[in-house]
Amino acid sequence: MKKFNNKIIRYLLIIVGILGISFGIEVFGFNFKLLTLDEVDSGVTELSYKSEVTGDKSLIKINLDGLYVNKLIVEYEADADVEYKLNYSERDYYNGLNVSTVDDIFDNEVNEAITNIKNEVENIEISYDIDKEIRFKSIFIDNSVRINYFRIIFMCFVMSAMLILSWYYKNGGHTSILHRYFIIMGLILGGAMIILQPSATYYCWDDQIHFLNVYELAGGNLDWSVGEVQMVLDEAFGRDSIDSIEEQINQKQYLNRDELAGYSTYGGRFITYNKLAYIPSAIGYYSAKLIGLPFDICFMFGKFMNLLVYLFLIGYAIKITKVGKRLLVVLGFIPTSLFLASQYSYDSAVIAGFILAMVMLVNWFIDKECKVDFKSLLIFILAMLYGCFPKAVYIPFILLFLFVPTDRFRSKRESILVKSGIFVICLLMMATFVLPVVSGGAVTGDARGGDTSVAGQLKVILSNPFGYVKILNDTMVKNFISSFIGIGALGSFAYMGNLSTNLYLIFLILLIVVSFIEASKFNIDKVYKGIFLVITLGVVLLIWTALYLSFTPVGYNTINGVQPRYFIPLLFPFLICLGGSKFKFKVSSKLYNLVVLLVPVIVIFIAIYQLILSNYCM
Amino acid sequence: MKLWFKKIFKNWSVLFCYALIGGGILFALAVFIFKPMKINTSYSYEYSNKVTLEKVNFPLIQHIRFYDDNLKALNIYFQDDSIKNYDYRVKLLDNQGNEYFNYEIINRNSDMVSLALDGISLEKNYDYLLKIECDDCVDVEMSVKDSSDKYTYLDGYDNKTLEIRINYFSENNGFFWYSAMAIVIGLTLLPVARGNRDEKV
Repeated sequence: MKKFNNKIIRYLLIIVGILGISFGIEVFGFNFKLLTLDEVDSGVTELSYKSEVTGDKSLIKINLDGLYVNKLIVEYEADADVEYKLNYSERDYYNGLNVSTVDDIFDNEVNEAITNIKNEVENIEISYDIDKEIRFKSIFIDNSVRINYFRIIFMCFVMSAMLILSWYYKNGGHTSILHRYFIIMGLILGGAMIILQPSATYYCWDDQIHFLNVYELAGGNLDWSVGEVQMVLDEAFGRDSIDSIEEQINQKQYLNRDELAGYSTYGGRFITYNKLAYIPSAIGYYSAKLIGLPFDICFMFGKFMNLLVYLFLIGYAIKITKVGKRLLVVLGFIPTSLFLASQYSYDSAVIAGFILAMVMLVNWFIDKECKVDFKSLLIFILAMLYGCFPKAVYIPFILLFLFVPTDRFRSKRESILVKSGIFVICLLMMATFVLPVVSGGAVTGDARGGDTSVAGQLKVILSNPFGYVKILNDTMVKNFISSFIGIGALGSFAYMGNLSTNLYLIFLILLIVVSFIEASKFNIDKVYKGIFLVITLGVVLLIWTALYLSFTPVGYNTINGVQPRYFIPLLFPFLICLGGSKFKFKVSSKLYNLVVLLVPVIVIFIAIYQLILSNYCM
Repeated sequence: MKLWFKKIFKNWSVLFCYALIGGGILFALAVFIFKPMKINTSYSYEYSNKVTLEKVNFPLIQHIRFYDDNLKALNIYFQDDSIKNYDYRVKLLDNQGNEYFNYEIINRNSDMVSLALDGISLEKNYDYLLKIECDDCVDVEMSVKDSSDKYTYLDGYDNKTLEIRINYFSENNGFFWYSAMAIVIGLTLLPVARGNRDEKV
């Protein structure tokens, strides 16, 4: 009992210590300049300004004569959103004048625009189109000391992660519990992304569509609140509309208004198979909504459930795999994948489900003692289906099961029966995307691709198959490397930007080194490796073809719409094919495990700081 | 009987497989008999001369513009002939609510309807709304449209007839697919589950 009490006290002290250090850095570090300002310059100061018209632009001019400006606040009223440019001239290191420009939006829903400047400014000019109606109420600078709680949260997350990793290393850094620390680090990193990112859509690929699908999963007649409707309509707050923590908080307050938007839709009573991957997010969102939490918290809960499922599936894969644990940790921490898992997206379901299914397969191939039993077969089927429901194009990988050696089963009869069942499951899944095209049902293309038509494109391919093979070959060869391991595949935070080149290279080097080290343990027969490679390439061809049919205007000589993230699930089977290499690397297991955890954690934390915290939380 | 019961269901994994198979069969039968889901349209878009419309539930509302202002007829094709069982109404309106035609289709017993446009002057490149109402089909509101697909541009045939193809996936088909998948998964797992049971015996 005494030991337990001591432990509790120790943990409490650590928590208090982390909070205290974060608070101290926030006040005396980030607010140091403001603490040392003259009394005259500190606090809030209202500014006088001149209005002018030049050509087709209206201008607001403010003269500051070198005054330090931490934040510029503009209060206004507008009937519609007004885009504007804020130009300010500041002193550079040589005491010369340097003009900086910020593009922003006066949102008509929130009547305040706050811009971070954090420098001594000579003058400020705000320009907007002359035909836009906007009434300025006041403009002032805010040099008061402000505690940025988002920054404190970020620092707490960073310190907690480093502390936990140091515990792991100090307590032996065992490989057998690597999966637990993967999940813990994933929760910290993903949690940071979810909390710090604005509660809005249009930050990730198609997230407005994914949120719509999550919301309509409830079924029946649905009335949308003000916050919810902003997520799916064009009028959603633009990415350029948030330049500071205050603007993010203002938008959250607007979105959290407990009133209906007068907008209704109907969520069908039937959940189609391609929407099953949304169930975790829907559970998170509606659970929070049921207990009356504000919209932005509900929005975060939906994302959090998506992240949780992703981490547990990959964590389980790391736990049960016979080989390649560290490789799976690195693959799980691909910045793009973790980012997708922290959003409204089904790509993380594809990645996690697929990786777990592939791990089951590899275990059967490489370990003679690993038999096909009820539990492992059920997990394999469910994981494969969960990963393929959103994108059935990956289902051919299930056919690898047909090559599992017969001695992994109790009898040849059992092997034949089970493999026949797996083959039929594959046919059923393929029917979901092949039958509509063949039966003349889904003749449409994706209107976002332009003049598209699945039926039309299919006719073009069938009338000139060799021409299509050439298009496929040219496009794939040109884009192969970038699709698999380019920055778009490994280091993208969608519309929030990509990792810096240095961070991307660090992660890429780690992935390559770990792949070579782990690949030496994948002792799979050459014949099976060949089959893995053939099916991987087959799925690659299917992906390119699917986008040619649905997203490329009829008759084009290139293939549009293929995104690098579609190939992330294929990295694991592709890297397995490198297996058996003679690359041997002697390093202590403890240190190796720490490196595969620490490097991605540092890379992703820096990316979060650069792409999320600096842009939306300062 | 007791022994037979014990033998069959000794192992829970066998029970699980039989539950999947039996549940799938019963579910399929229930859907076949009771047909719980009404029609839910899912239509596809095809450019140049023929146009098929994007997915929406009834009432089906599509923004359209005509390239040709001298069309003789508007043909609407439904992919699934279960529309024969329902009466529906086809209207053409503009954004101010003015009606250009309003046809009630009763006892049509066909998966295609041809609407004459003689005497109706339609402007080229003007925003119209094509509305198909079917009160008995699905009791729904309009679903959200992808804003990138606000307008469908319709082209005319040489003989000035416009075709609109409406393809839809009856939700009952989806239930059958789920039933089939449950049955197949149950059958796939059954040999392995039986092996577990036999080993214990």
